[in-house]
Amino acid sequence: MQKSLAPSSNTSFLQRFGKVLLPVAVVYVLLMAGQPAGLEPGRLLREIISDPTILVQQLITGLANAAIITIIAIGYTMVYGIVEMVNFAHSSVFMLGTMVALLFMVALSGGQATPLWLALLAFIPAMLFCGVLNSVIERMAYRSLRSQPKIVSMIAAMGMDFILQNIGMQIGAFGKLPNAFPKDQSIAWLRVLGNQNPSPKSFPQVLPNINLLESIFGPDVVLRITPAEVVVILSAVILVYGLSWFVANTRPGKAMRAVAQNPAAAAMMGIDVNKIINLTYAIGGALAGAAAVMYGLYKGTTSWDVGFVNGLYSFTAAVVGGIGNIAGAALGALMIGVISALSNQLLASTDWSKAIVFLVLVLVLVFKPTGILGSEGGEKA
Amino acid sequence: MMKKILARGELIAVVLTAFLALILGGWQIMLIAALAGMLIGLSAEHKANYLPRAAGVAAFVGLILIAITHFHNTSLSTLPGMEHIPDQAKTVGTYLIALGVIIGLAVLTAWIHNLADERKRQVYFIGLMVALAVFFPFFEQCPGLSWTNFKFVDMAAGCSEQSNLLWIGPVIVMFIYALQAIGLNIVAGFAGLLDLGYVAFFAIGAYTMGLLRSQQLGSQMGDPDFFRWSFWIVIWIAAATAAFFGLVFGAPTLRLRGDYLAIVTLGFGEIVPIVVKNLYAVRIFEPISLFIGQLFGQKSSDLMQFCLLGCGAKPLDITAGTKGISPIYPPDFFGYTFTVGEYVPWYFLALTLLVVSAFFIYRLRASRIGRAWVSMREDELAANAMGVDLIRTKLTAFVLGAMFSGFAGAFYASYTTLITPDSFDFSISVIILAQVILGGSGNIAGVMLGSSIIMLIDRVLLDKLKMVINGVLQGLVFKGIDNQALAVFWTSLTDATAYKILLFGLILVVMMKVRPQGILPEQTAARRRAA
Repeated sequence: MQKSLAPSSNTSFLQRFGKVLLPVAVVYVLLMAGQPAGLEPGRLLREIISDPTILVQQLITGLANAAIITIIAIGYTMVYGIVEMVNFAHSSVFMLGTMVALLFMVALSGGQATPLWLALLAFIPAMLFCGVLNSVIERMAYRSLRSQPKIVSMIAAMGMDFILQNIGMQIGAFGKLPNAFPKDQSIAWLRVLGNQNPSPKSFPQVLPNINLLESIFGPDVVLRITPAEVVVILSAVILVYGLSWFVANTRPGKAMRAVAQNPAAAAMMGIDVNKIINLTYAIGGALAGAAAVMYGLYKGTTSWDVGFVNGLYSFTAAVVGGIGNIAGAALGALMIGVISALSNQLLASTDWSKAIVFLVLVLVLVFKPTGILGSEGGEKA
Repeated sequence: MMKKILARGELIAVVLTAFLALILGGWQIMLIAALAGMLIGLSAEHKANYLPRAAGVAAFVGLILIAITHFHNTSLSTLPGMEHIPDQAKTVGTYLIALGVIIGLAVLTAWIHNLADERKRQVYFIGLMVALAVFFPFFEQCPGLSWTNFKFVDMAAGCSEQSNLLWIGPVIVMFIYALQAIGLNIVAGFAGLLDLGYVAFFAIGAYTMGLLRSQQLGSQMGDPDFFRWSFWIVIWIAAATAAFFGLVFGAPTLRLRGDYLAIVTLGFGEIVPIVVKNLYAVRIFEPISLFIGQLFGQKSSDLMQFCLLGCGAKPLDITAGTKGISPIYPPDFFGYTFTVGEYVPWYFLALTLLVVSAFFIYRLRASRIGRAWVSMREDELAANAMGVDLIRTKLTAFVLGAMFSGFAGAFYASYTTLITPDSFDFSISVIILAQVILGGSGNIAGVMLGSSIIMLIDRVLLDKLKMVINGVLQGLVFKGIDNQALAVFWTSLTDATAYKILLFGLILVVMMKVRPQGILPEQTAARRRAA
């Protein structure tokens, strides 16, 4: 009796040292396998020591990346917080948002250079479009499946993602329309979609590509901040604050928190759960739309597959920060943004950044599935 | 009105048959008859009189089929857009045989479908499919053939060896996908784990075969033929490699909740082709010496770094990047060497692989581990309470699923003789998932059916549809208008093959909403009791 209750002190040598040896072995193998990618700590350390500004510069770039990732990640995290489902289609909603923002900017600038106010105005159609799209998807595809096993709605979400991706790819066909009517100036802006359906599409240059620090401190500065980075970071801060205020102080925001805590109890208190869930999707979608405009301003290009990478980064950010937690999403996004900026700079090819972020996702899921700010089954949204 | 006379499934069969007959036309009347017959049989779920009913519906559908085919041959083929569909002389004999095929298969399938014994049903279904598959290559497929005096006669003349086997290429590819689909069925169907990166294991299997049976590595080692190991051994190595990677990736992630697993596998499926694409200049050092050397050394050459791999003058080119590995040696079989373009041996090799795998998986499902998978899928908590080790059970499903994908990949590499990172893109995972979901996840016969339907759409129908729409546009809409650019725009917008992913996504969403158990559902204990 007593023996079984006592802590097992007779664990074998292998068991005791396995706990230490296994991570060491994993790291060792990783450092071997990572060499083709340029994952060489010695070289990386040396490069950073010889030129520490790399680190600071990539922190700035990472911050701008993080701004976009945060806004997308909030869409994942809010939906997960309330219905415990990963909305796979979210990344493609974002992608379609970039297309809408692009078309809006080009269509309204009438062949001239796009002014900044017009680019900022694009937030409205992009957010509206993505919000409505996400809420329609919820209504049509997900709502009736909520009572089914989870794998059912996950597969439906995946299917929805494929549908949207394909639409995003085929939008490009309209780029061929102006060739058919070369005299018609009213559709000339469609040329921005290019001659190949899946080819990347360029945003108009809205903000000048200058170094703000240089114009303030003179030509000696080594660091670089562009106006686009400032705009993107500012927009993200405004959006996150606005959302936090909305969730904390308004009636629908309180209702959202209530549904996240306990849908059944919320329904009994007179909250229309379906409506609140739909609202959550709409807000998440609208944020994806906002992120799409920011992405356009910052990266200057989009294509049908931008959803995947940004979706992976954002989902990773949401998980790293603790899924269901808005502040966590921002924190996670900061980490992912900096990591991806650093690996873009230091690794053998930018292709590997995806692999690195993916590795971070797996490691976090394995060692701390609740994320940095998440708590086991605690407060959500 | 129509709905009252015909049940929903039968209505679908009618519409589908008419559509297929319109799109495919030609001799394919036999193929359509076989497919339609099976579909009608599957939709016969009436308690009484299901056999006569199936026969009646089949006769009705058969007549529609014959009418459309006849119409095709006589008047439709002159219409714009139809010139891509070969017209042929058909005789009453051909039509009668087609009618016999459709009625016979409908009755047979209906009988099997309504068998009380789940086991018998599975075995008979697979038996029927295998019988059809074995018969397939002996069935001449030249578009100009017609059946007279109980013998296929070359009506159009000029039917070469090649055109006699018009369909065999797509069918071999279908087998490769079906093999993957029944593998994914273990993971997604039996164990209920959503694996969205299944293509990763396909790629790993293919690249293992490519590396061990080509000059890619050998030529860099001084002996080009060093890696020419026997196909029959390498295919096992490929499967084992895929299974090993399944273990490596499954072990840390399978403890996670289902949605995390889905996204991790999604990432995995995307990362593997990236890695493969970038492994063209590999030189690996011992990490600790490398670290010290790089941190304190002045030049990379004067350091005490222990090189482990690719230490020659040039780094090791493992995968040749985007160029891909080629040529991969075809297999030998007791002195016979498979050749590209000679389809029949490949066909039977693929069929054998598929049948043996299906049998193996069928027996697995009935075994202790198979029952553990299903109980875990139905209720994880209860299964755990009954002594099912969840992680271990999930891991077995994941690893075995990876193994079959590795098999398929190895065969694929030998069959195509060229593999590039692009041949393993994300859409393959989508297609395979759609096959499992459409056919009926958890049911091997259903998954095979789903596989044949999806591959028919993917490899044949969309191409034909594209041609027909193109032809209609060129011949009707843009006949009088001299605006080539506008035609280019419409052609690009209506390109049916460009909507492949959309179609499969739609299949996933619609199936989840309408019939989440698939066309041919798995008969679980719970459902049996309910019936």
